[in-house]
Amino acid sequence: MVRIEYVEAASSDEVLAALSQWGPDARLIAGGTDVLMDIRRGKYTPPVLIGITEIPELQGIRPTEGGLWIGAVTTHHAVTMSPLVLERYPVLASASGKVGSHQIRNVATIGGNICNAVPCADTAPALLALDAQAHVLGPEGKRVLPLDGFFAGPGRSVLARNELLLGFVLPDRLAGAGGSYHKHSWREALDIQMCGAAVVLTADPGDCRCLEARIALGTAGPVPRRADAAEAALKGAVVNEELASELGRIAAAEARPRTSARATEEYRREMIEVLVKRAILDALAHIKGARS
Amino acid sequence: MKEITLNVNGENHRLEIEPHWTLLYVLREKLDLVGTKEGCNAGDCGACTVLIDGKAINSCLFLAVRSEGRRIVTIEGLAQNGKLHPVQQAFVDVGAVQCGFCTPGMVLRAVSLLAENPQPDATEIRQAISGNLCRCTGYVKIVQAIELAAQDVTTGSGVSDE
Repeated sequence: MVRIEYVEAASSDEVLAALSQWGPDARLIAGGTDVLMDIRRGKYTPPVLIGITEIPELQGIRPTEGGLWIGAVTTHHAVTMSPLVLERYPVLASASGKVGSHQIRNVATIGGNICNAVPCADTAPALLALDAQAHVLGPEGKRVLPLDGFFAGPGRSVLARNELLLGFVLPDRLAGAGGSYHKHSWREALDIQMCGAAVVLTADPGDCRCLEARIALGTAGPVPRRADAAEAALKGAVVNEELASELGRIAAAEARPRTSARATEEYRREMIEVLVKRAILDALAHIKGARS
Repeated sequence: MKEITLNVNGENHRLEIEPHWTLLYVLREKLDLVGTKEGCNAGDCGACTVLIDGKAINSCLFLAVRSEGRRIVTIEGLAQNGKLHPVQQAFVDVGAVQCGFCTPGMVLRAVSLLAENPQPDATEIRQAISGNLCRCTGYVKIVQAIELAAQDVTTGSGVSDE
């Protein structure tokens, strides 16, 4: 490893100043579990790492206007333990709890998981299904963008090199909605997903007719993505096992997985069908459970 | 080089480090605390586990420069006045150590688990140590050791470190 400088930023303005001073090769470091591995593997060698975990603005989980704020440098462990997340958006707690190991979750952050932008990021399908809004700061000021559209390709987001992800807002509208995240991997722990599926849905507690639905897939294409066709078929329909099976087939058909060392395209497609079905039935059980 | 002060096992160390050095590298190569092991160097095996402010982390994926102002505990810091920590003693009593390479990380993860959850069941123990690989024991004795240590904790012989 060649020499790399380190700057600890105390505020988001200091981050922008450091990015402007050091130029486009500078790297932000939050938990660092991906960044340090990328450097070790020679993927890039930044002249400087800019530490962002001490910035109060990027920390914490708290109610905010229209929803729940989750700071970009919140660790996965903090997400899984947060009473607010567990109560309102348990699907996200479940996804954060499936990242890496306990030791990794103690340092790795939710913002890092998203900015790293790999197709297999565990929190991506859950945040997509929760309609998360990403709050981003750049030299021109703040902008808010839906996470759906945040990913530009494998390992790439729409963030410019001089921008900083501040955090996410999850909408009040989906607080307490039925939700479930399923991940398929060879090992039950400390493994990267072959594919994943998150479902968030609201339904009439009486006849189980779906009011609003979000289905998002991991490792089902170059970027984490929503399953639009399956969502359209779910909305307004009565949710039951037969429908869940059908939606699994629709999601598998619209998914664009590829063959890699971890799994073949065909196997991934079959597993997406299974995971989507299971996630829908879990989300439905969640709704029925809340009713009784 | 950058000058930092690291608090390791209750002692402050003034050190000159390169900003990109990992905590694992500094512990082993600059402080001669070689109880912390380098296994995969990729966050997969947990052999490099240490406690930072009571939390288990992989020191191979943590920059030393970010450890300043925090309380670091390595395996060398667990025994007090020549007396093994209850988790260490349980590993000895049960026979949970074979080659020993995973043991420091396994013990520290167990210490942090019992601080969070003083009475874990076997499933919770297995989940908790899923980031610590052992290629010798098959984990059975390790799980037994942590169960025994948990009993010691509840009967008052006590895991004092958080």
